[in-house]
Amino acid sequence: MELQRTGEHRWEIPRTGDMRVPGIVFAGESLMVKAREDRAVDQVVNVAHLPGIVEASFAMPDIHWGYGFPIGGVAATDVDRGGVVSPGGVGFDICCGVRLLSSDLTPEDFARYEDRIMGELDARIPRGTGKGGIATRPLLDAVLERGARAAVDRGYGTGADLERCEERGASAGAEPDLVSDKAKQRGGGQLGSLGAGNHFLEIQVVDTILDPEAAEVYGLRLGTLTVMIHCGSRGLGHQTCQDQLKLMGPAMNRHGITVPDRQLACVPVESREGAEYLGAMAAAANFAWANRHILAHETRRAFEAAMGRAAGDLDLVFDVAHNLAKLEDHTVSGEMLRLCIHRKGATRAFGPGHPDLPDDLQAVGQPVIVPGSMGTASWVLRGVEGNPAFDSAAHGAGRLMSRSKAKKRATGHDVRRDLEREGIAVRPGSTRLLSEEAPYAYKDVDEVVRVTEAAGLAARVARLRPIGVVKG
Amino acid sequence: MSDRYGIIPHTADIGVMARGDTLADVIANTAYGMFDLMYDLVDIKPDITVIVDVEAHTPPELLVDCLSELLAESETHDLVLADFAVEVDEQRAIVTARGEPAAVVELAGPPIKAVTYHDLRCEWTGDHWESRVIFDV
Repeated sequence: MELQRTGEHRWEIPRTGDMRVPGIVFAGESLMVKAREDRAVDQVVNVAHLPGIVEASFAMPDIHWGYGFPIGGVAATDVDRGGVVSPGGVGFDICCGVRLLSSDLTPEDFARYEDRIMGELDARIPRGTGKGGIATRPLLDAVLERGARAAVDRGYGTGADLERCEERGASAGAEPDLVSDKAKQRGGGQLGSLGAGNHFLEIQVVDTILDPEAAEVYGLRLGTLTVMIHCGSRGLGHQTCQDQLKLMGPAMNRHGITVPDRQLACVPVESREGAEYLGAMAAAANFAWANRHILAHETRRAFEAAMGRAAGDLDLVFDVAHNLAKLEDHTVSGEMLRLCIHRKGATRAFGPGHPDLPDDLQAVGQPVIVPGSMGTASWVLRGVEGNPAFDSAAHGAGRLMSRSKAKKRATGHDVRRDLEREGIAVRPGSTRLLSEEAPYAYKDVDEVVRVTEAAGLAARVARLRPIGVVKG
Repeated sequence: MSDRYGIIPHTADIGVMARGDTLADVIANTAYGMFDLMYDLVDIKPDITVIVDVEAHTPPELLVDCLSELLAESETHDLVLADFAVEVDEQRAIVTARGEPAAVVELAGPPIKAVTYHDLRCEWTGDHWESRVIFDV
């Protein structure tokens, strides 16, 4: 496969064979070496075969091997010209994403109340497998229809929170009836739970500010604490995607579509099956928006119980998804097109002036939240004008090695000991699984965001250093 | 780890490859591998029985559907499944799975979210059945 370096942080795979567009990977030299070692670049090429895809099959600087789409993959299809929607371009964890809260608390506050804060979070945040959620099943139907708004109506969080959520905390066009009974049974009891694997709730310190203006608008202050929550739509979303993928196989045959990887199964957006997928996806996304919203509410209660402070001390910076398909208008070769944007392990990054942003973010652009690994750092960036990949940016550090390899390098106990030596309090759902999520299993997040900025995808605002982790 | 299956390393996720003399055997061994990735199955008691009944047009789809149904049952009812008896009749498979509540079992690996179609194989090699499946974790 030919790979041409067309910029300092831009690599192009020219169109060959049945590719409809070229592949474009935004990466630095070292990140590109890693991307070529696993099969991520092959997956960029495969995505370029999707019917109706426009401009390019993109990959963000945290690119790594996924299933079908690469993780960090972005693909836009032209809805009005037979462009497709592919559940694989969203993933099983529909609307997995990150919510960030800010505060006026300091590391000294944390040190003074550490055991109580971590103890309250440990007790209040359900995680792991088969654990129930905070919210009760009767809320499920309302959540599938109205997302985080339904949770607000039940007393979780505030309406003001919704202004600082992508989609205002609810995906349009949700069709709860298209979520199967099996999905509702599997995940219905998990509303308000973290899950496991790489999901987490992390307490951080703002240790660097590179963009003071944006940081002030976002409510990020140097030396203060933030709380980051990473999770998605749990078993309900996973089952919804599984159900839809099964339907896609025969549907593709009916539409005369073939793809190089069955996981890229797709149908035209403007088809019955396409509309049904998007309706089911939106309902599952609503579960995820509400899930993070409820967990944030419980986090506020945990801090209040531990410190005797008012819950309003944790303010919402933003909540972003990194596994979603969205219908957006973009200009392609001078023509305004209605596109289906797939972001699989990639974050929406609207720049300043975008009409979908709330008034108070218009001047600086949308926050882009990029979690690193526990033990290193996370970042907040902002959307910028002229983003070259349909207003998309990286979503995380990106894995560097397989879980098997990570487990061989150290035990969960070793990883926990090393984190605690670094001054990071840890409350794992399973100590045994910590090694799979160890910092050494992930790429250098500082490098990922540096390249993200250099490639014009988003601009760095603040760096967040972890001091407490509640792991799934 | 078991001699019933092998692990396929993957950067973000994980997979299983298995063999069997029959399609039923390879489905059973792959299912065992899937649950053994998450839990140590050696000491799991066969106290609770779950039956899944699926139909699909091809062996790979039959494999995915069996594994997906077992995953859904285990998560819905909070079970660890460790023993799998599979009957295959053309395009239909019935899996009788047995295990115990997950609450009493420690996780040994990340929970599997779903069964993907990526790099999927379930085929007769001329000598035995082979499977290969990647899971989303």
